[in-house]
Amino acid sequence: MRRRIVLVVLVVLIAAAVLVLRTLTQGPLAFAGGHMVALADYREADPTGVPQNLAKADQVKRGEYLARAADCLVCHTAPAGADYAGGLAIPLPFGTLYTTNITPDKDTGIGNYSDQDFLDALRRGKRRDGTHLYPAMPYTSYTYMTDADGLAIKAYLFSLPAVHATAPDNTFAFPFNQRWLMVFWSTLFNADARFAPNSDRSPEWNRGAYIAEALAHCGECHTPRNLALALDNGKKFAGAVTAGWHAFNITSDQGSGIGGWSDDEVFAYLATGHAQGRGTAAGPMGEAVDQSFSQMAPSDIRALVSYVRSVPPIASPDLPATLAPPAPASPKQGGATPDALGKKVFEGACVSCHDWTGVSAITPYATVAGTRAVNDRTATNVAQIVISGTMRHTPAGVVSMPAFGGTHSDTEIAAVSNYVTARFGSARSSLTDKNVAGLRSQTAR
Amino acid sequence: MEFNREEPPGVNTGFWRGVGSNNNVFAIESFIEGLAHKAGKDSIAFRRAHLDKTPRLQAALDLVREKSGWGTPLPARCGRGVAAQISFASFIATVVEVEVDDKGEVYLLRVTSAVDTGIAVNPDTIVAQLQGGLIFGLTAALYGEVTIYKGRVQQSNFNDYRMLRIDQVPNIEVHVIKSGEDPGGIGETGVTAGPPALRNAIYTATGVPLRRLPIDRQALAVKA
Repeated sequence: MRRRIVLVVLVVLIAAAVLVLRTLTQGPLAFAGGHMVALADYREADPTGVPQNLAKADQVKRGEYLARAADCLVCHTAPAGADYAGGLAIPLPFGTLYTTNITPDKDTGIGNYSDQDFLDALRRGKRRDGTHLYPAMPYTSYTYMTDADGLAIKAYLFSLPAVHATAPDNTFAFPFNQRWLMVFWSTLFNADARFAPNSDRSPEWNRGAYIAEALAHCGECHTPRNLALALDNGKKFAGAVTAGWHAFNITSDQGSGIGGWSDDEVFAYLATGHAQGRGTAAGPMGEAVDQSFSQMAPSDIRALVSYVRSVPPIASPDLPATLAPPAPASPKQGGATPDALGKKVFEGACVSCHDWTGVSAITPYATVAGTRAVNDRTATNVAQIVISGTMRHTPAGVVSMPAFGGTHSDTEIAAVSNYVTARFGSARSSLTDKNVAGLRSQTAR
Repeated sequence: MEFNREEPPGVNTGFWRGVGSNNNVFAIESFIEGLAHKAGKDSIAFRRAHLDKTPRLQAALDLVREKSGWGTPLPARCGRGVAAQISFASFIATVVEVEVDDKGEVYLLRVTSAVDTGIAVNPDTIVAQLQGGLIFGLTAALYGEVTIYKGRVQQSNFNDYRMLRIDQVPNIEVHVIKSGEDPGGIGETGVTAGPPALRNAIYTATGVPLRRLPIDRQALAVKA
């Protein structure tokens, strides 16, 4: 009985808060202004579907491209698990969510889904059995997808081998384990509307908007969330911490966003995961580059660049507007930490590639001077990359940073992260071993 | 019985410097330490009392007691541990001194060995061999974990298979006992001497009797 009262009170409170939030919530494309037209009435090149070279390909091929662009694989595959068979653990503040099997297995996958079932799950967050998905599945982004594109993805998934695999149950605490509550969330925060082109913007911009919003779902990591965990598009692309990594500000702000980058730099970062002097993608963005952006047609990446750059500037108060220059060549000069451990770890494990200056003599991919990560005074991404390393596939071969998380303690990782930000950044971080343990626990695995 | 070979199925094990003495000395010296503890006796005195038929090892114990500062007081969560052994026909006693911090991280403070390896043809080499062997063995005890996942070894390089670094290595004193006996082996002796002495030092410092290697830092952390 008490439980029921608590539940009712919670529902009322949440509903009230959420209604307020809802009135303040705007769509992901609201920033652009101009006139929206229904896709059917749009007279320019179709912004949906696949690029020109695949226009005549069969549905499965088109679906493969779109599934890549929507980056389904990364979340629906567990480490060392079969592709799309689910089971990746996503830690959330109220429990762990396990991603589902989306192979065509009839018992444990989506083999029994009709076309309509699939579109409902993809765009309305509604499963075949009528229950609701948690918005860890970015259906509020996929909702902008056309029928044709959604069904092409389904055709591709159904062309894959069926894998019999049941993901572990989510471990959500009450009331978050009350899946039916998601009906309200979905009603309030899912637009359940298809992409409508903006007739005041170029066809390239519209193509970029479709890729970014309906497929690649950039905002799911880069846009901050409101109290109900819905995207706060008033702060579109202003940066957020997602899955334990800082998804940085990618608005056109000069200092804390990417307004100072050239188009070519943004293009290179998306296509290869690296932009000279700007940094190298790692963590979830590294996965997005590997599994999604690097496999997109150059015309689509150009469209994305054109779109992303149009997002209005928002300055991040927590990021410095200027990036620190390279550090002195001598370890005796330059920024340091009061405690000697960070320098000790750095000179033992890091300096041979990253140099005392932060400008790598080995590969530009290892240059940390001038990157956002070392200039972030939370040192979130510095610690994360030390823990898990990264691997970039470049035209010249693989460039990798090894993971040090298995052999170095939280104390050592905190110390070296603080040393790195002190030496190469504009403000020294003050991570503790507890912070590092927290970062470890937030990453998907 | 000398030994019983137990190999995990599906995993090929090769030779490791120190071979069988690694496991045996660790097991024996951990057990003896437990007995000394139970008996409420000093670790060196307890061993010495059971070695009347092995005067060369008694002499090594006496020398290491004298040179290691055995018995002098240490701060909290610091401790000394001893291991005495006959390996490769050499008689060696080793004392390791450690500090264990609240999070379970172990710092080596000092290592002292006394060895009777028979005729010492080149004492400098003996010292160098023992120092190198001790560092190798202590590295394995502190970091040398190899894990297998789905049939593959997970460690790939020195980022995930850590080495003891120069700034973590303490003073290592090796005292060579003058002896006219036949020369014994010295190349692998140090490898096998470090881990049990380290384990017993951790036991003294924390009261935690570790029974496997590498050391489990979580088990050594101060419980909140």
